[in-house]
Order: sequence, then structure tokens, then C-alpha cells
Amino acid sequence: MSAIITISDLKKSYKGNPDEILKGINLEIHEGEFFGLLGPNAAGKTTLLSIICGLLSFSEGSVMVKNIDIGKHYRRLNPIIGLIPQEIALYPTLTVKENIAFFGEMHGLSGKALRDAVSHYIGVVKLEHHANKRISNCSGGIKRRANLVAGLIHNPEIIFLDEPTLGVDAQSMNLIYDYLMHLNGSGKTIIYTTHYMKEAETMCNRVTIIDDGTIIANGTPTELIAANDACNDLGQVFLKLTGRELRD
Amino acid sequence: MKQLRAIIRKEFIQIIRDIPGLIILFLMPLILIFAVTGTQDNAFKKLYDNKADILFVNNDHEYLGKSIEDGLNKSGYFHVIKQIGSTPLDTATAQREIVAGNYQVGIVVQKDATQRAKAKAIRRIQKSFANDTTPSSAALETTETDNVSIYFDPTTRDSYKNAVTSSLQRLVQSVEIKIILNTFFEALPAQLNTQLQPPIKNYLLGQLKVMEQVFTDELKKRMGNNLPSDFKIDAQPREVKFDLTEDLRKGIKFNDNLENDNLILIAQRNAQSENAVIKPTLVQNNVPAFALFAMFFIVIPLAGSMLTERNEGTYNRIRTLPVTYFTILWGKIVVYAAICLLQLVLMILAGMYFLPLIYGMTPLELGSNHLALILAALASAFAAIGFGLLVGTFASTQSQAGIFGSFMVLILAILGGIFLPVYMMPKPLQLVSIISPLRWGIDSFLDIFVREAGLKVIAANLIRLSLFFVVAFMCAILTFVRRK
Repeated sequence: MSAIITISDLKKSYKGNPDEILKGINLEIHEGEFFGLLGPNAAGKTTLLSIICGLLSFSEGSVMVKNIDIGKHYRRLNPIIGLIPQEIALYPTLTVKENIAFFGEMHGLSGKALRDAVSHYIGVVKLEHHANKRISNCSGGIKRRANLVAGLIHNPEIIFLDEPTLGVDAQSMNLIYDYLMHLNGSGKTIIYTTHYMKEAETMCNRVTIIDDGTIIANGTPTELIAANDACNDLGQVFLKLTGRELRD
Repeated sequence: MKQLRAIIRKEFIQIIRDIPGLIILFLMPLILIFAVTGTQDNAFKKLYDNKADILFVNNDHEYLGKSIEDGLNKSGYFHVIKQIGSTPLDTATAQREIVAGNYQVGIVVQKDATQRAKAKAIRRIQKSFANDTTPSSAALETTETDNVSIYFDPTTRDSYKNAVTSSLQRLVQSVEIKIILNTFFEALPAQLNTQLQPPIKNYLLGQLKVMEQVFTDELKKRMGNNLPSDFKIDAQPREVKFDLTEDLRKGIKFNDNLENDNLILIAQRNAQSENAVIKPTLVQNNVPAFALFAMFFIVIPLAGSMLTERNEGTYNRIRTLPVTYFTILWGKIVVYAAICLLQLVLMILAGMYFLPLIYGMTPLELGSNHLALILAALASAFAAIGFGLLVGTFASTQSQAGIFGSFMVLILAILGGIFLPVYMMPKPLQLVSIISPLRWGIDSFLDIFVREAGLKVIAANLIRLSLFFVVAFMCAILTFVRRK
């Protein structure tokens, strides 16, 4: 598989703060991969994801996504990526359907194509009965599912998911897993951050563990478990590598 | 274009579903204009239309006391109260009633006030004719006592105090002049009096002409271009009637014609062009003022909408969309500009139909320069939106934007002359008021509504309002780009 994202010696620090959030990240993500980006709180996961999506600038290094230099032409990336942020990035006074349609229109969909896409995605995440409910009146699970499809309506090649199952019930979580596996099976590249190690172990082809702005492990879940003595799952590997000290 | 349409639709849906926001935008300004205009109208009526109760104690019972009482009655502004129930008022009772807050003003003419005024007039005449050999003129003066006292309830507003005091001063001055004149002529022998009449009369008429010229020149100097070119003082010198022989025969009694004859008639006129048909009224002033005030309150929903997007994640999602922030902001601007214009239309309708219906006021007149009005409305709406964009861009939280935005609108409104005309402010504040976009807006509307001004006159303010919007818009765009 060829690399769809290439990150070289990436550094990031904020003005007025000499501490680097990312300290020279080197990483390749391949086309069609279900890639897990793991790490404790404040490790730099969301920062890395934001840089790849073009939301944040970086101090040093380079990021290439599908041969697009993100440092220079990040806007060219917009049509090919889908971002599902950690927050419910929807308009509370709009209905589920209106929200999904709005983001579809922003991606240039209109008329029948838009209506078909909205119906399709509402069906995929089983929101038919809630389509006309305002987001502010929906449960956490409905919001999460609507949040997911609002980032997918334009059928992007690369999908970035920042903790998409945060705070949802087992049923909604299961539906989201199934759909993401289906998307990945159809050739989409998925970059996924989560704190649920079991989730990453089950779904991801490959994971990278990042801590304090540095990559501390990279490989398939099986490889990482095998490489760490006395570890039977990814959760144990994670704790062994990042320590048990609280990160606040 | 499709994207812009989608953003406009999204913003529109968001606004119409935000009921508290709609109340702030449309209902509150209407309530405000009804409340403020009604209150102001009532206050003015109280001052000028309705007769104000005034306690009057006349301890003098001579010319001065009677003249003041007559003057107060004839002025038409006051209802003179000389007794409460069946008890005639005395100074102590009047004071007690005012302290208790039952009345706001009381006038007491002191005992022997006329006699003291006459004595003072005589001393002045003597002093005027005294030569250097006369013993120190100061010796001619005796200790002065108040002839007339005004008592005010401590809660009475200064403007009202000033109105009453100046009315009383006018009365007292006219009486004083008459006392001096009559005392002067009384002191002359009858023959000399007859000889002096024609030259004095001619001299007074000559002086009147000079005063007229000086007054016109001074007015031109102070009012500049605001004074109509054909301005002429409306002074009609009346025939000055000094029937001194008769006066002397009657003693201190005055010719009634002279008493009611003012030498200079002052007519109140508005400095506006001849063809101006709009009269400046409370409605003409308040409607544009409060429409602007309401427009600037767009800051709350607009900044709120921007902050919701920024703090709740949609901002980040928007940034990954193939649409420019320029388009996103324009989507907001179009919707909020429409709201501002709708607010203005509502306020205009209130001024044309509801205020006259409820308070019986003269309906709002829009003037004949409709293009200027449309452009002023658009420029003001865009300036209000610009202010919303600035607050929405730089505030961090909803409450910060809400509190800061509201207070700033209030401050800018005060500085802009929404509540109190700029010319009534202290000089330093008048200078600061120049930076208020609300002042640029209100000045434009007043020029159109009251002065019948055209585009040329309001052009400078329209440019200021538009530039304010452009700068605010650029700040919002640049900050968006910089936030990467």
C-alpha cells in the first residue's frame, strides 16, 4: 500500500510557550488503512490530527496528504477529507436532517443528489425517526450518529475521527463500529483517535502511541502486544508504555 | 452561490427558532420606543402643556407681588395656588407642603418688596447722577434683602428648576425696569419731562436698531451655515408710550399698555430651509434614534452565533469545508442586515401609526429623500453588523459577548446622542462622541428626517459607517486566518 499521508520531522509549539507540543513526529499512513492514533490526555493526538486536516499551522517539518503540501495548500484538502470532531459540531436549533443537508450543501451537493445523500446517511445511522428533531432535543447517541454522518455526506476519501464514540451507549457504539468497518472495507482511509483500547485493538490495522509529543510505539496491535512482555492486550501495552501516572 | 444560499437559509432558520433572540431584536425596541417616547412626551407636556401647580404667597400686596402673580397667571404655564382648602397660604405652610413633597415649587414675595425695590431704584438713580464730590457711593447702598424667594422640592429636576427660575426672573426684571423708569421720571419736573420725552423715545428706538443688528451678527457668527440666508430678526419696535404726566398724576401706577408691551418680540423658528415641511418632533427624533439603538443590539445574536460555532466545534468543521470564511460571514451578514432593516421598518411603522394612535402624537414623516434614507439604513445596518462581527471575533465566551456587547451599545448610544442630544453633553464627551458609529447613524437619519437633507449632506457619515463595517469585516477575516 502506498502512503496517503507522510509526516516528516513535525514540530509544533505555540507563540509565547517554548514547550513543544509535537517534538519531531515522523509517520506514514497508508491508503485504505484503519489507523489508530492513541495516547494519554495532552499527548498531542488532537494537535496532530488538526495539523493533518489543515486546521492548525506547524512550526517545523512537513505534512503531505495525497501529495498535497498541507503547509502551503491546505485548502485543496477540503473536498477529500471528512472530519468528525470530538465535540458535537452541529447546529442545535436545526434538525438532524437540516444539519446533514447543510454540510452536504457546503460540499457542493444540491437537488436530488443532496436529497438522496441525506436519506442514505440518515438510514445508515438509523435516524429516520429522529430526522426532524432539533439537535438540541436529541439524546447523546443520536447526536453522535448525526455528528458522524455530517462529516461523511460528501463521501470523503480520508476520514478523521476524534473519539467518535465518546459518551454513547453500547447500541450506538456498535452501530458506529459496524459502519466504520464497512467504510474501511470499501477502501476509505480512516484515522481514528480513542481512549478505548479494546476498540482500537479490534478495529485498527495499525496503531501509533504518542506521548508528550513523541511517537513511542508504532505497529499492528498484534505486533505491539507481542513486543511487550507480560502484556495480553493493547490496554496493557498502553499502560506499560505511558505509565500509570495520572495525566491532568 | 449555492453555498451562500445554504448559509443564508441556515442562519435564517437559526434566528427564527430563537424566540428569546427574536424578542430582544423586535419586541424590546418597540417597547422601548413606546415607553421612552411616552415618558418624554408626558414630561414635556408637564413642563409646557399642562399647567404646573405653583404655591404663591404674596406678603407684599403691592405692585411687585401683584405683577408677579399676574405674570404667572398670564404665562399659561402655571396654576397659581394661593390657598389650600380654605386656609390662605403663608410662608411656613408653603414650605411645609413643599418639604412634604405635595408641591414642587413655591414662590414667596416678601413683605414690603415693592417699597424696597423702589428705594433701591432711587438709590441707583442718585448714584448714577452723583458727582465725584458725593460721599462714597457705596454709602448709598443699604443691606439688601431678598424680595422674592423660590422654594423647590429637593427631588425637582434641574431642568424644571431652571425653567421656573428663568420665567420668574423675566417677570421680576420687567417689573424692575418699570420701577426704575417710573422712579426716574417721577423725580423729574413735569416740564422737563415733556421736553425729554421725544429725544428719549428716539434714543431708545435707535438703541433698539443697534441691538437688533448686533444680535443678528452674533447669531450669524454662532450658527454659521445653519442660519437661513434670509434670516431677519422679527423685531417690531412698538410705539413707546410714555405718558409721564399721566403716570406722575397717578403716582406709581403704570400705563397698562406699557406693562404688556414688550419692545422686542422673539419668535421661535426652526433653522431650516424655506421649503422644509417637516417639523422636528419627539417622534421624528426618537424613531431613528431607537431604531439605531435596536440595530446595534444585533451584536448579541450575531456574536452569539459566531461564538457558538467557535466553542461548540462547528467552527472547526466549517474550516474543513470547501467554502471560504468570506462566504460564511456574508451568509450571516445578509441575514442580519435583513433583520436590521426589518427592525427599522417596524420602528418607522410604529412612528407613523402606533405612536400617533396611542399617544396622539404627530405621525413620523420620512422626508422626500428616499434614496438617502435607504442608503443611511443600509450603512447603519452594516455598521451594526460590523460591531457584532468584532465582538463575535474577539470575545471568548457567550456571556462575555453578551455583557460587553450590551454595555458597549449602551455607551455608544449615550455618546451618540440617542438619549440626550450631543450638544447638551460636556465638551470632552462631545469630542469623544465623534467615534460612536451610532452618532454617525443618528446624524444621518436626523438630517434626512428633520432637516430634509440629501445624499450630499449625509455622505460623510455614510462613508464613516461603511468604513467601520469594512474594517470590522477585515478584522474578522484576518483573525480567522491567523487562528490557524
